[in-house]
Amino acid sequence: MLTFNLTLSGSDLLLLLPEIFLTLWLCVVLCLDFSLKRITHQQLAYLSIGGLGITGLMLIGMDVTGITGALFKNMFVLDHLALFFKILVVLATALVVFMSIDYVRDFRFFKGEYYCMVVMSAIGMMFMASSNDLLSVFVTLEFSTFGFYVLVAYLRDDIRSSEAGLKFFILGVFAAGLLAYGISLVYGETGTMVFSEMAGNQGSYGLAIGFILIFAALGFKIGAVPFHSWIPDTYQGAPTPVTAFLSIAPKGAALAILIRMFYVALASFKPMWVVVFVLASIVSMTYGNVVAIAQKNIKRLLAYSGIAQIGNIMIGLAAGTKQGSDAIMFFLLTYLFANLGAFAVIIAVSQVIRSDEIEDYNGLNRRSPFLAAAMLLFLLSLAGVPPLAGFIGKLYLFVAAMEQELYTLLVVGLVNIVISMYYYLIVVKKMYINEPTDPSPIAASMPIKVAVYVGIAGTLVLGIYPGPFIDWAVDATLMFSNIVAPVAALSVLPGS
Amino acid sequence: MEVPISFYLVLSGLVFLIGLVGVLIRRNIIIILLSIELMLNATNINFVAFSSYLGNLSGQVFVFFALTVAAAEVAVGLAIIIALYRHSASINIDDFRMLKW
Amino acid sequence: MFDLLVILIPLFPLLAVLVNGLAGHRYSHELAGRIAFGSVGLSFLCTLGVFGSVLGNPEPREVVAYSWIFGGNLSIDLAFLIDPLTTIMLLVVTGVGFLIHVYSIGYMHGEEGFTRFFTYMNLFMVSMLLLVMGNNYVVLFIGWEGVGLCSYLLIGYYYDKISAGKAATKAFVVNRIGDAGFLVAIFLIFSHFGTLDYTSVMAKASTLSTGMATAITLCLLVGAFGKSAQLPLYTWLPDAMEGPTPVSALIHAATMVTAGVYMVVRNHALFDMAPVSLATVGIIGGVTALFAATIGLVQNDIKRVLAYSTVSQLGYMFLACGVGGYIAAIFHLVTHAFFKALLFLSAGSVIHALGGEQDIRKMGGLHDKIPTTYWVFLIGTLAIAGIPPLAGFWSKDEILAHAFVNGQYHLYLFAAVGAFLTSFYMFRLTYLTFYGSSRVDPHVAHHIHESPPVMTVPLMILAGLAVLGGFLGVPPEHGWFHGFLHDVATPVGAEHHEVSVGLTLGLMTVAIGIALGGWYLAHYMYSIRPATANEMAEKSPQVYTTLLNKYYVDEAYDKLFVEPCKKLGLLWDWFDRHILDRFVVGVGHGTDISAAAITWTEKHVLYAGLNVIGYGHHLAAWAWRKLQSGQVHHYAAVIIIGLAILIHLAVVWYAGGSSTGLPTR
Repeated sequence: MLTFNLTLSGSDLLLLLPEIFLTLWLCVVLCLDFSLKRITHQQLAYLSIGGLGITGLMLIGMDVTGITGALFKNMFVLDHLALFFKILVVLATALVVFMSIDYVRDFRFFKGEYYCMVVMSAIGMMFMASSNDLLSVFVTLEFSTFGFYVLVAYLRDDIRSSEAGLKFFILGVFAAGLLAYGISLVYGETGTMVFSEMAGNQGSYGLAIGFILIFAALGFKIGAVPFHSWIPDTYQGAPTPVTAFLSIAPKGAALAILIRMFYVALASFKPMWVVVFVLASIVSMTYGNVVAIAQKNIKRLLAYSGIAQIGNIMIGLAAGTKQGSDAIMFFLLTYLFANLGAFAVIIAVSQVIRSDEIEDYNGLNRRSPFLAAAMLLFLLSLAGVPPLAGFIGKLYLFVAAMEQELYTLLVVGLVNIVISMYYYLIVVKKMYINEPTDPSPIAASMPIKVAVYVGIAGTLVLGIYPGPFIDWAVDATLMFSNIVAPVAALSVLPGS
Repeated sequence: MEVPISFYLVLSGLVFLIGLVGVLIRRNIIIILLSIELMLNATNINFVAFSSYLGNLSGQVFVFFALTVAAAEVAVGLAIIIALYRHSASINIDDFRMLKW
Repeated sequence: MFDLLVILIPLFPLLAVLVNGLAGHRYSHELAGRIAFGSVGLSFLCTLGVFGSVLGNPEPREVVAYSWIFGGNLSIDLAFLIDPLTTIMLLVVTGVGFLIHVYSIGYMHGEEGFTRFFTYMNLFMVSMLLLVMGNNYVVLFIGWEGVGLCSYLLIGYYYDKISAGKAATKAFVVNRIGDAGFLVAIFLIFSHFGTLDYTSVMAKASTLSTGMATAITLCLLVGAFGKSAQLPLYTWLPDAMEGPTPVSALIHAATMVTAGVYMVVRNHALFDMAPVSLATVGIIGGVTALFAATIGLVQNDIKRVLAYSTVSQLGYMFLACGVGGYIAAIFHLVTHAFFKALLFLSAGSVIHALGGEQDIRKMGGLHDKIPTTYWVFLIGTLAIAGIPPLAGFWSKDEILAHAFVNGQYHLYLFAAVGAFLTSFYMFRLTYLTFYGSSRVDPHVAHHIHESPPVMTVPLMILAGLAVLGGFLGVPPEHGWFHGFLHDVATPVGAEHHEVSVGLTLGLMTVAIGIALGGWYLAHYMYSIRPATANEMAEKSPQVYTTLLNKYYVDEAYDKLFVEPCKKLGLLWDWFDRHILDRFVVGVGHGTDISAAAITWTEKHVLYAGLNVIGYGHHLAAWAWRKLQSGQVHHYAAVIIIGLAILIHLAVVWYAGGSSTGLPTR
């Protein structure tokens, strides 16, 4: 019988410092909320942002100084990969809080708790980025998702929000059931739950089925076809800032796990999972882009576009090389700015016109040139038009696939870029060409403008000066540099 | 006589399938929740069986966490169900299909 | 100094876009207009400076404006390649662009979206300049997409016209098809050469296998045919005439649509490796030249006639490329930019004078009412018809001669017949518009006025260019133009056909005969015996209506592509309603699944099949979205089905491998 022997020293705690700090800060914010009668929800929001900011600085400091290590028998690792994703999550969370300030003002109650929920989910996702073991995958994944269940159903008086919450919840716990069962199979086959100890395993039916089940749960999280079905309904019904949050942060955290799991634990059966990712990528891109064309609601449109973007991201996983993971990480950064920016514009617009219908974006250019221009920029970046950030992200993904000679995937991806341009530009056309039904101007409030400006800055800087950021992603995954692709084993792939 | 491991696996597989089919075909949200609980409990059987078979404690630890997660799930789930019930006085899942296409 | 000049060329319009786009609503239209045309004018001056330098030193020079992607293992520069070909394109784009900008000040005067219009126009200039200046395929692609976007926005400029919105969408969709081909070509080039710089790619071009060269160039051609409106992707260009007339002149005649020709010439080293592709270019170009000309014969909208004529003239340029006459193609591109911009702008002047009327059946007798416009339009007509010594004669004659000398007699025939038709429909247009009795609506008739100088002066300059531009290429094959471009646009490894003076003069005589023949026929049908046209239409109504309806190509595309999409939608819808839904229910209620499933499937599939027609009216083209039914059960079922497929895959993967159940202790 093995026994657990956990000892923590002060220097070990240092690795956990950002999470511990943010948790304590969260408790302080929560206590202030119900102890101080006069504290406004804006102040709570800025307090949360402050905490996130300090956490972010800590993470950047750790990344620069190279403080890394592993805790709890390798269940929790802090390496540059984890730090990259944690910084991503914290950045996304801070932007989401900025976007929420206006939105939360209209809540009738539980204003302060909203921010606590957001930050709590963020803590869960930070742990996800560090999890190196199936147990911690399960616990952290559920931890972060619980926050989202509540957040999605937060508008108690809006039945659509509750319905979205219900669908997300049922399918979410269903996926959790699949995840747990998959973990049990993998555990039974390998006798361990730590990724690095599984490496080199020769595999068996049970192991393969177990990992497919785990992939299903993570695929659910990132919204890959066929585990995508909750995405459109939940995105549409949820409060818009929550939709924005859902659209990037959990995907980033889940991708951290996916990369770790497939690159480390499953390195020896790469030929199998490459097939899975090629298929999932092709189906996700095509389904997302085609169905997006028919959408009338802008949040739903972005939901389908998100499914397609995940298809793009899985191109990197299908490549299965260091280059692939670098491309994924850089792409996520570009996606963060463009997608959050687009949602910030949606919030700004819906705060005034109380609608998310694409029809109501007619003539936005004349109602608010700033918001229209920002939206144009974000949509073009999502579509992958040079010289914006999204283009470079996609370029890197495609180059990674090309080096692995995944030509079918490449051609499908390129065709999909072309399809996606169509629906993004439908929105552009409505904003710039169509006549507004109501020409009254739309003004955005200061916090939303901050989010939009950050989105614009990110989209432009990552597009025009991507070098340092690419280097950041490249340096974060140095541990994968010895992964070589068994190209010869890919013969079952369509087109290779 | 020692019960072979395959017995446990078949049992857990059956329980898991019952839960799975329950999620697919039942219309009452609470029953669906219970079906999901069945799925999680099937997992627990697996873990305990493997843990004993492999002589490794991590499986048992997982069960504790799984139980906790299941409890938290029920709490959140019931809250959402109550919110929905207030709107439409129904817990039939077919009544909630406003968001589609 | 040289580098700075080069970088300034696209920078000026870019600054104008930023200033007008961000602050344009704060100041008057007048100032916005000045900023817009001033910036293009400055670009033109810089171009002249660059031109002077290139005259002295025609060696290709690379100017790196910005090192773009240098992280990781990929490096792409925002780099410009300045060689004689680029310089010629720059002169055309900035020169003609400048004149059209000046003209637009008058044409768009008083429009509500004046500033918006000029912002888009300047953005177009930036994109077009990047397109012609770039030294790698990424910059080319940026420009390529940019001009497409601007074209889309400008076609839909009159947002209150439904047809304008539809035309914009059509242009957009068709161009996407082209772009897909273009993107694939770029990736093929990158995967084969490992670089995207023209200079390195062209240097290594001879290492290509014929198959690879054919694949790359055919993909490039899909892009070129989409952008340059060649068969079968030409249908968007005539519809694009919904945009304001200066847009038609600048984007849909002089510059953007010629981007495909430029791209072919720029990549001629690749095309020279792929005889199949070259033959394709020639055939498609020749057929398009003839095909579009026949449609042009009977159209009644002044701008549409010119649009079909543009398609046809672009066909000539591709034909020239196909027979290795790259210089001839560029020469025709230049002269065409002069006279087609002139024709569009003077057509705009006519439309302006008539308060927006575009139907030539409601014109006539305008030559003494708007004399300046009449004269410049006539010059344009003479130029495009190929009457010497105007520009069009020299360039078109050179293309015809090239086809003939290379022994491509079928292409020569296409081109010659096309030239005859061109001369005919252009003079028909002139006669119907400016001669005969006035058919103008009486309400409009007394408002007819000549356009202001801001419009007529650019027209006169363009008319001058249309008269004199051809002399750049005189004598044929040995003019200044040929010497200037010789190093950059001569086919690789082709032997030079020395053409005797007699043959040259003979071909010229034939060309002149063709042009005059077309003129005379038009003169006869629309001036001497105006009834002839109607008689002919009555005699062979099928021919007439087929031509009038543009060979029903739009309708055919609807039948071929749009309808099947709807059918596919029907299938999906049916699948969703009857298979997916019943599947879930069936699993639930099936107590005796194995037996029941068979009867169930028969019953429901049959039932469903019979009801497909009944459900017909529920159809949308986008039935895929019906998969998102709103029901959690379906979603869970989708997850399970997906899982089943993946698990199946995994199991198949291991079927031959190790099948150990559990690890032994």
